[in-house]
Amino acid sequence: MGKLNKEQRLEKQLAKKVEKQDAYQQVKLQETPDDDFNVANLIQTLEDQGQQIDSVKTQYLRVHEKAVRLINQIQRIVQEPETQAERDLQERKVAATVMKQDIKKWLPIVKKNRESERLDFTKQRNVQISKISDTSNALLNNHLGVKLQNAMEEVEKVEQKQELNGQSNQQKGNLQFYNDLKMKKISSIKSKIYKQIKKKKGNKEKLKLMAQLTPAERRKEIEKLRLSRAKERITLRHSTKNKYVSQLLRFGGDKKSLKQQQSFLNNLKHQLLAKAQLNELEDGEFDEENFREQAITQLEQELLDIERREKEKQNNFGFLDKQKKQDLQQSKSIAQKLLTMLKSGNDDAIQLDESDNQEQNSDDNYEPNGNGDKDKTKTNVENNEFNGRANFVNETKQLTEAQKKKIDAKTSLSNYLNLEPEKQQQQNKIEKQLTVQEEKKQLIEGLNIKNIKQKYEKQVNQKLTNQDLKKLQSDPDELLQQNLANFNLVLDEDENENAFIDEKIKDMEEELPPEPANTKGWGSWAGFGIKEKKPLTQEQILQNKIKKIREVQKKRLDAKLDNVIISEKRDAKFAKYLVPKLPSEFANSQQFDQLHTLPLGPEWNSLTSHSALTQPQIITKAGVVINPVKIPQQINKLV
Amino acid sequence: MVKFNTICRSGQERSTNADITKVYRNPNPKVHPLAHAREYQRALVATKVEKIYAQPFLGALNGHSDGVSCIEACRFNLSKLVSGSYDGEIRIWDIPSRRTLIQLNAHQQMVKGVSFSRDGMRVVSSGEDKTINLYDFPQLLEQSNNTFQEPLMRYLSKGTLGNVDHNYQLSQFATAGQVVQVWDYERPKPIMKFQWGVDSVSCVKYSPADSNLICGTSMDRCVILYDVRAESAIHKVAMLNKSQCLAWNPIEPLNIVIGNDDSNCYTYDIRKIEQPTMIHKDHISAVMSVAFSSSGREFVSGSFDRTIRIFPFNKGYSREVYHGQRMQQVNSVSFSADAQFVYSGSNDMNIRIWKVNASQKVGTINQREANATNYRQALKEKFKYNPEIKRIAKHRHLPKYLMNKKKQRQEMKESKNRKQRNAELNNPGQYEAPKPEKQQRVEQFIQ
Repeated sequence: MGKLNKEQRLEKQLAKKVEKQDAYQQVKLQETPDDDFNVANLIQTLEDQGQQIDSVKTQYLRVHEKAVRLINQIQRIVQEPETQAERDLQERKVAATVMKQDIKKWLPIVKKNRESERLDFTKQRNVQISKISDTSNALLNNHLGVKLQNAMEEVEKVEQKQELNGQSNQQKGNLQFYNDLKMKKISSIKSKIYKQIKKKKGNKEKLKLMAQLTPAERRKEIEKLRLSRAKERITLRHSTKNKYVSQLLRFGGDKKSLKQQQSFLNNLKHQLLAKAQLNELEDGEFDEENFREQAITQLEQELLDIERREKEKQNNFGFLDKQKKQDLQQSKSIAQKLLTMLKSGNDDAIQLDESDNQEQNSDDNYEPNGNGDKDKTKTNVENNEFNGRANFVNETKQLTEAQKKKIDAKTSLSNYLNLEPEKQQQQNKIEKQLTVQEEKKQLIEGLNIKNIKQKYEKQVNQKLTNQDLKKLQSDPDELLQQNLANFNLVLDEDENENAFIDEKIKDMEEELPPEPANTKGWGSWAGFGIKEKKPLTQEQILQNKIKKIREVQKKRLDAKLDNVIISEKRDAKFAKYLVPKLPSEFANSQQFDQLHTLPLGPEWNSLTSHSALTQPQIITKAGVVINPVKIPQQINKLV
Repeated sequence: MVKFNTICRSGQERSTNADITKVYRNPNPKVHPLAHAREYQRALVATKVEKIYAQPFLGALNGHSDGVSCIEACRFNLSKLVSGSYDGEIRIWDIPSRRTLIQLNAHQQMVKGVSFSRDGMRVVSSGEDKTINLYDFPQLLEQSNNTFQEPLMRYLSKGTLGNVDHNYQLSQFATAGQVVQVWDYERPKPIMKFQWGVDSVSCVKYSPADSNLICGTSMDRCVILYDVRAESAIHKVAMLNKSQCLAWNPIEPLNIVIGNDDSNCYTYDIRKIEQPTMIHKDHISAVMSVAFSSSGREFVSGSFDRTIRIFPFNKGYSREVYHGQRMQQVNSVSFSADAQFVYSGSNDMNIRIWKVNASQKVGTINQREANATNYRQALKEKFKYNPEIKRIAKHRHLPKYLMNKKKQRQEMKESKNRKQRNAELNNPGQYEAPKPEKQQRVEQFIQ
């Protein structure tokens, strides 16, 4: 029965086509059973032969007849000529396939052009600096494509070789040109020996001229020369680090310099002081007059020396001579003062001396420098700080006569000092404060405020209020004061912390959206029977605000960081360098940023890379005709 | 930006006031802290400078006594240009001197198309009077004063004619019209005829790379592809509007650009012509003519809206727009063979010469100048996404009628979209997702 079904389907399909047939064809179809001799004959013979034919068999035969008829119909349809439209369609299909196959030869060229970094149309053929990624080349499946690409590569190789040859020739030419230039330049340069000879000649001529001059004129000339040479040596043009020059500059050209002299004086003072101190400590007898005489003789010698050097010849350099004079006068004045002090032993003289020296030594009060020459002047060594204690000691001790003398001198001096330099005391106070602050800093260093607070509260064993602290501040106890100072600092920091928190809250408040103006009736329904809304109380407003701030706080980056404020504001000044939205050409922001990492300018690149980076993608030149794309001959042969 | 309020000081103490803590930075010159800012500033200046020096219009060729219907620049000689006008006159121009070399009264009626042969030795013209004239260029030059010169060959067509296009390799040319015909120099009758459908073909163009392929646009809104070797056309695609003109990409001979009456240009890939690969929008009226640059990277289009636009071959919007107060509807445009100049023939009887890059200097450019311009271009390319630079670079002064029309179009588009969106929202499930615009523009593909 399967066969039958198939036949029926065929019938249906072909029925449509049969309908389209012309009338003569239908007539022919009707005639077909007559032409079917074999089957008819069979039936006839069967009828003749036997009367044993079943009704089933006859049915089967009828069906068979039909099938045969259909087969014949199909044969006829195939043999018939096609319509014009059908033929055209066939033609077009073939043409399309041929065209598509034909076009494929352009694909590698087009692909290369699209993928190349730049197209240079100024050359003969539009050859590109290519970077084809062969991996994703669908063309490789195609036989023709593979052949084409191989051939293209070969062609390119040849071209590259030619280009290289051309380049090397050009390079050689360039090198030769530069070499020629260099040789020209060298030929124009004169040698060292030539210059030396020329100089010698010049000198000889100068000497001849000098011989003709009078002695006075000659001396002037020589002095001029000396001056010019010295200036040359000293000036920065030849910044020499010669010993001679450096000494000239520092001490004015003498071997035994003034500075050395001053240092000698200082040494002398030191010696005197040391001796005085020893005497005081040991309470032994001090050969005062002998010591004074020695000092006086030494000082007189010094003065003589200074005078002698003042009379010496001058250096011819104005600036050096001035300096030398100043230095000499200084040392002379010091020496004279010392002398008068030693000779007279008067308080007035000492006072003068002190007032002079205090200015110099106000910086280093702690160090026992030699400010005075004698035991009397030694008091200066002791600082104002220690005056009180010294007085105390002086009062309590029983004194010898010699000691009394010394003390008198001391007290007189100290009184004078106490009267005069109030400024100094102030300075000292500031310094003290500074030192205390430093100590505090050392204490706090590396610790959190909370820890310090806890530490001090533990020490005191109670929680302190500000009033308590004020009371404590008036207490004279030193240790307590020290502790207090530290605690004050902690308190200060506490205030700072509060300020910090305030700032953070303020920052969050700024982030809140602006509240709408509370105008009555706006944004609410109007009409009869509508209840009026009560305006919010201030407390409610505050609570709402706090709620909002908490919401804002959760979103912030620094929500969990107590000691940090992270500002998330966008800098308006910087915004102009940024892009509001990622351009569609880029998949992610990293790709886009890559565009900006490399600057193009000549300041940040070598000249070659700069020119390579800034070359345009399409290079055309006025006057160079660009021909349509053409497949190279080698490839054309393959095609 | 992170702000730190420090409560604890660091362990380092400053010994003197001069002892300032050093701030270290990378001394590598490539990571210069101000490189980006400086280059941005330079890019900004470069875009502005380009605007200041933009002078695209070089000059006009006047001489025709009626509107210019068609022009074509010589494919071989950079200084030659041929143009035809509505009164049947053909002129061949010398561009550097801006004067007419040859003036011919070639046709009784309007000149439909003119074309140079690849070597520049032959000129073909087709007219509305059903004649095609083939001229020998050297011969024309010899008798340049004679305006009634006889052509080398005159062909008569049975049907009306459209434009004519010379083959790039062979001594053949194709004409559009009721029937697309391919002619040979030596034969008085066409060697090939193509007819498909009833309506006539308005424009045909040979593929510059392949001498067998012809593409045409027909009056029944179709774009048809022909192969000369086959007996009939290959296939065609019917669009919503009629197309007036087309151009082949000479560097990528798979792609064609079509100027449509719906004011857009369409790029088709001839392998898959079922739908366009790109729509180029910006004109506000029918596109009358398109021409590809010989570099294949951009094309120029002349429109009925009295403007010329230059499009990058792979961008949806134009790079440049040229217009003039006296310039009327543009009938024909052409690119010079070195891709430096654009010529436009318009209804106001003039042929205009424009620079492709408006701010480019004409004449010799020394190496330093070239390097500087290259650097400026590279900077502009680098910062082209920056909003400020983008705004300045994009801005073009347009006449009022264009601006108004543009605005109107934008409003229409928005309202249409809004309507569609509202309809979808109010009747959920009844609307399918809209087709992409490329598909919408194509009505039918016929194989």
